[in-house]
Amino acid sequence: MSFTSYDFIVFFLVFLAAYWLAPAKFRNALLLLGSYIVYGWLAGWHVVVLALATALDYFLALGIAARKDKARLFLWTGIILNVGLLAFFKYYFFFNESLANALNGMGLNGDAFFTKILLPLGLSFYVLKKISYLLDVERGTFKPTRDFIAYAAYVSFFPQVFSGPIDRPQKLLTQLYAPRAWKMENFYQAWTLLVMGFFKKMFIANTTQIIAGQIFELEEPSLLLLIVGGLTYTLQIIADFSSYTDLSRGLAHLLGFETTENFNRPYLALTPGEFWNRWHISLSAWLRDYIFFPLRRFLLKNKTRVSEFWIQSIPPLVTMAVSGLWHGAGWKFIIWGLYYGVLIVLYQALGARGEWKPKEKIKQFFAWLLMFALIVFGWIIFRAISLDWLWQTLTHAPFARSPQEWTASFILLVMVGFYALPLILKMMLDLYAEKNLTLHALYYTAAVLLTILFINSTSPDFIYVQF
Amino acid sequence: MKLFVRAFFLTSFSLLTLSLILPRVYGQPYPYPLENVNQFDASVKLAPMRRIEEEKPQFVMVGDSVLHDGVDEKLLTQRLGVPALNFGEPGTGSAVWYLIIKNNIEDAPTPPKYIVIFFRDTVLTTPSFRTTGRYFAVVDDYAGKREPLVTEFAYLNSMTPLEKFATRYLPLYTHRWQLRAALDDAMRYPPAALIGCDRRCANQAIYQLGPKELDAVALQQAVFDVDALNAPENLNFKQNLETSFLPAIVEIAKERNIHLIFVRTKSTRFSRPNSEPPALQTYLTDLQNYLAAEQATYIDLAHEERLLDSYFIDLLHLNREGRAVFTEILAEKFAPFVVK
Repeated sequence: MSFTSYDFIVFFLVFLAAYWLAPAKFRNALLLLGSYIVYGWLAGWHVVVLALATALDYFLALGIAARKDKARLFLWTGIILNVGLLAFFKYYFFFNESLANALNGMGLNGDAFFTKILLPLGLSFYVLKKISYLLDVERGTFKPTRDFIAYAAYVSFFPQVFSGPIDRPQKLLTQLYAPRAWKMENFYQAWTLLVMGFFKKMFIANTTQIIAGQIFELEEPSLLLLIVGGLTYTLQIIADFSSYTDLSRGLAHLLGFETTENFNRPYLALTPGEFWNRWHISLSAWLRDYIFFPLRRFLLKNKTRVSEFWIQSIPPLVTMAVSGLWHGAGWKFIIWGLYYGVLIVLYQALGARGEWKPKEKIKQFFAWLLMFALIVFGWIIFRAISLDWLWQTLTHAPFARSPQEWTASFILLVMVGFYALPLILKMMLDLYAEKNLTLHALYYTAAVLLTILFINSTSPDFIYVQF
Repeated sequence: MKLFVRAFFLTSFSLLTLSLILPRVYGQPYPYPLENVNQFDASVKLAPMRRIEEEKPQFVMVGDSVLHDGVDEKLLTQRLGVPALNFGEPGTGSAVWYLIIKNNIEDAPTPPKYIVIFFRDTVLTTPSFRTTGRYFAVVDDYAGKREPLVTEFAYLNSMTPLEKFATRYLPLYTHRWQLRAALDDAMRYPPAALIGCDRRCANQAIYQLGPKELDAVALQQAVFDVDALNAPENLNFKQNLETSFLPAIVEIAKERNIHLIFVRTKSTRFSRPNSEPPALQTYLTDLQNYLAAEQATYIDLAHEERLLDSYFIDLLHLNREGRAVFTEILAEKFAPFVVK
C-alpha cells in the first residue's frame, strides 16, 4: 500500500481517528495492528516473516542482557539470522532457478512455490533497525525492552517500514514507551511535510521519471543523452526518496512521533564524505556507527601490521561496498558503492575530508561543480540497465548522433530545469526568507495546486521501496 | 499555525477562482459530467484496417507484446498458406484489443475469417488493465472521440469515489490533462524557438528518442503487470464478465460472421499443469465454458512443453528461437481452420 494510494489514504484517516480515540494504553497495540495491516496488504505472509524476525530479536536481546557470558553468542546469532534473511531474499533471484529445478526433480512443484516468493517489502530497512537494536543492547548503550508490543511496533512502524528513515531504538522506541496525547502541534508539524511529500512525488518525481525512463530505455544512447538522462535521474531520485521521507515523517507526526530527517541538501556537498553525511542520513549514520567506526578501530588496534594508507582506505571502501550491496544484489550496486568508496579515499588523499570547504568562493564553486558531476555519474551507474549497457555506451556511443539530439537534449534540459525549480526555490526560501510566512504560504499554495494538476489515477511506487 | 491559516486561505481562494474560470475556458458545465471523463481525440489509428484491405487475411491476431514479439507473421503466413496478420500492440490490454476490433476489423470492407486474441491470466475481464498513465496514449490512438463502453468499463468503473468527486467538483483536477499539455507546450516550444527550431522540429527531436522496440525495462514493467491481473478482485469471471469488453467482442464477431479464437499464452510463472492458484483455475474453467457457449475456440498453450523455459527472456516474452517455435505451434493449431 503506497502512501499516495487511495487505499492508504482511506486507511490512514480511519486509523488516525481510531488511534487517538482509543485509550492511551492500547495505542501501541493499535499501532502494531495498523502496521501489520499496511505491511501485509500485498502479501500476508510478509507479516509472518516480520513477526517471527521481530520475536527472535526480542528474545535474543533479553538473553544478551541476562547472560553476559553468552552475550556475544546471542548477538552473533541475531546478526547472522538477520543478515541471512536479507541475503536469502535479496539474492533469491540468483538461485531460485536451481532450487526450483531441485524441487521439481523431487516431484514437487518448485516453480509454483518460488515464483510467488518476492523480496518482502522494507526488509532491508527493518533488518538494519533490528541489528542496531541488538548491537546497542550488547554494547550497553540501550536497555532491552520487556514490552514486546512496543518493540514490535518499533520494528514495523508503518510510516517507516517500507523505506525508512532507519530510526534507532534510542530515538523511536523510547517514544513508544512514553504516553502520547493529541495536540494541534502534531498537525502543524505534519501538514508542510505532507504537502511537500505529495508535491515532490506527483509533480517532480513522477514527471522526471518519464524523461529518465525514456533515455535509460534506449538501447545505446549517445553520451549527450546519457548526461541528460543522468541529470534527470539525479533530480528524480532526490524528489522521489525525499518525498517518501517527508510523507513518512508527516504521518509519524500525526501519530505523535518525531522521526529523523533523512536529507540535508545533499547536492550542495563539496566532498563525497559530505554527500553521504547529507544523503539518506539514517542509513549513512547506521553504516558509520556499525561498520565504518568498528572497522577503523580494529585497524587502528592493529596498526603495527597495517599501513596508514590502508587504515584510512579500507573503512570507506568496505562501508561503501556494503552500502552498494544493501541497495541491491548485483555488480551494478557494488560498483556504485565502491565508486563512492574510491572517491572518498581519493578526496582524503588530496586532503579534502568530509567537511572540507575552501575559503575562496570561486574554489567553493568549482569544488561543488566537480562533486555534483561525480554525483550525477554515480546516479548514472545506479540507474543504468546493466553494467554492460553502461560500458557499451561509454566506450562506443558517439557524443551526439544528430543535430536533432542536440535540440532534444536542450528541450529536455529546460524541462528538467523547470521541474528542479521548486526544489531550488524551497531551498532559497528556507535559507534566506525563513521568517516570511506569506512567501512560504504562497509556495505551499502553489505546491497544492500543482499536485492536484499532476495527480494520475495510478502513481509509480517510490524508488526505494524496491530496496 | 499562522502559516497554515495563510496557506489554507490562499489555497481555498485559488481553487475557488479556478473553479469559476476553468469550466468557462473549456466550455464545460459545472459540476462536470462524469461520462466526459476520458478525453480522446477524434483521430483513430486505421493502419490495421488498411492492411486488412490490402492483404485480405484469413487470420488477424490481436494481443500485446507477447504476440508482437513472439509471433513471426511472415513465417506463419508461409506455413498456413494464407495471410495471417500480427496486430500485437505492446503495452496494451483488452480495452485496446476491443477498440482495434471495433474500429478497424468490424468496419473493414472485407473482414477476416478469424480473429485470434492472445491473452493471459484475467486480462480479458480486467478492462482497466493498461489504460491509464503512460498506457493512455495507445488507447487514445485506437479510440474515436466518443467510446462510451471504454469510458465506462476502463475508466469510470475503476475510479475511486475520491477521483469521481474531484472530477465532478474540482475543475483543476478535471481539466488537468489540458492544463498539463499547455504547461508542457510552454516548456517545450519557446525554448526550442530560441535555437531556431519550430514546433514541428521540436516534436521531431523529442519523438526520435522514443524507443522503437520494447527493451528490458519495458519488458520488466510488463512482468510486474502480471501481479495486477492476479489480484483477488480480478479472479471472479462471472462477476466481472458483464463489465468487461468480452461480450462486446463476441457480439461484433457474430455480427460480422467472424470466428473467434482465444489463445492462452505461456508464462514461466504457471508453466506446469495445475500450477495456477485455485482461484485462477476456477476462473479459466468459467472462461472456457463461456467461450464454448459462444461457439468460440479456446486454445490453451500455457503448458505447452515445446516452449522450453530457456526460450523465455523473462516471465512472459520469448527470445528469437522461442518465437520460431511458437509460430510453428500456432501454424499447427490454426491449420485445421484454414479455408483454401
